[in-house]
Amino acid sequence: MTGKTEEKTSQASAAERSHLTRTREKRVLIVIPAYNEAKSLPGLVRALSEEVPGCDVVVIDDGSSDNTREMLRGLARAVTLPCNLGIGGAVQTGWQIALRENYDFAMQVDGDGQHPPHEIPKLLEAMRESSADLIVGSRFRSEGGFKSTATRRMGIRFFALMLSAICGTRITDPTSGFRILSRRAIRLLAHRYSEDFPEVEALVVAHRAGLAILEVPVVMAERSAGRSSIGAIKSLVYMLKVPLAIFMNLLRKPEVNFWSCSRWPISQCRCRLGTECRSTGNRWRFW
Amino acid sequence: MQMPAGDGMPEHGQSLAFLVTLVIFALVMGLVLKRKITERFAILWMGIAFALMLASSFGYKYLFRIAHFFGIPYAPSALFLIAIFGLTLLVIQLFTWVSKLNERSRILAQQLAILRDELDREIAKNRSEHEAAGGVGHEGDGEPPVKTLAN
Repeated sequence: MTGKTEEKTSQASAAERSHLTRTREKRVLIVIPAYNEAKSLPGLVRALSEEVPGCDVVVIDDGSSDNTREMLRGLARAVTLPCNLGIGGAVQTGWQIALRENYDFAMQVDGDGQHPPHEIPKLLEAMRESSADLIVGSRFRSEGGFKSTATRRMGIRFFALMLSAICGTRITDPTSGFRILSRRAIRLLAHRYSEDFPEVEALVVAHRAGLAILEVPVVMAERSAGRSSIGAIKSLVYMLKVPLAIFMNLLRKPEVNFWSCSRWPISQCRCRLGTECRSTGNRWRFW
Repeated sequence: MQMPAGDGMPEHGQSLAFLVTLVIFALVMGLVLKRKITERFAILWMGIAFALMLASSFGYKYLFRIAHFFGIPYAPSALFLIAIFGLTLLVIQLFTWVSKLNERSRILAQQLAILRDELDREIAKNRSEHEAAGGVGHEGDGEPPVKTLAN
């Protein structure tokens, strides 16, 4: 990326930001990926509407075999995937909805009750205050709360060191799924989100695309019902797949100025900064 | 029938190898004609079959030289080498296609879910509009009577 385009980008995004702040309140979409979480979801959705009434909630039902959809009728918007895509595919669907419907921020909250709704304003506040594009709620920067099991903490620590080295800032909880995305991050991750174990990799993708990552201390809770989807064998695959994916991402050419229009993937259009969008004819001013 | 050392396969073996590759070639061609394999995949298949066919017919004497050059003591195993190389390529091609199909089906599933959700909302909106119009009649002139379902 040349200096000229960089300058252009920052100017444009600043203009865009001030324009948005002047005209209206930010719209926030809370994405809840859920696979057979019918027990804990209604409570979570009710708590969300109490704690953060201004945010829209969408539950991505990842082909659940229980009555998730029925439980949510009248409570929250539920988007049902026709087959199980895994957490990555489900969350990505949420990002795509946020992109399609022009949300300013999109937020991931896990459906198992580990992410207490009363912690959400912390992330929202951080998003409004800072210029970061991807803000992660870290359970290791706060006191108390649920800190995961000892073996998992070791794995998390490993990735934390790795990510801190890659991103050049201190990252303590890269596997946390409690995060909020700016519009730029939504745009990037709606296209680039891996199907399995996406959290850590997404940070690398975002960093490589020039997005700013920030961590905010949050207190997490233990899951309220159900079991973790990651067992012993899956943990092993996790430890092999994620470093490999990170390594591959580092080898790839960074996707600076990567931009696809909001009609993607229907249009399959991949327009870049300064070029005209082939499907909408718009000339993009930012990113 | 005595064959000199290093000469490898007797005549029958050569004709068997040729016959097998011929069958593969014909099979792939038949499948392409019946549109059961796309031409794209058939290229590699037919290429492999063709290379093996050449190697087991006209190229048979060259096969010995090549085998000798690479220090393969039993020359016909060079045929296996070619075959394994070709099959590896084929498997790699297959993997790329599986990955591509996987991505495509994922995108399709996501888009299907999003569009179905939009359709459901649209239908619900229309229904409530219809009910409001039919049941209560027009209340005032401004506000469309849909707001109830939005949240």
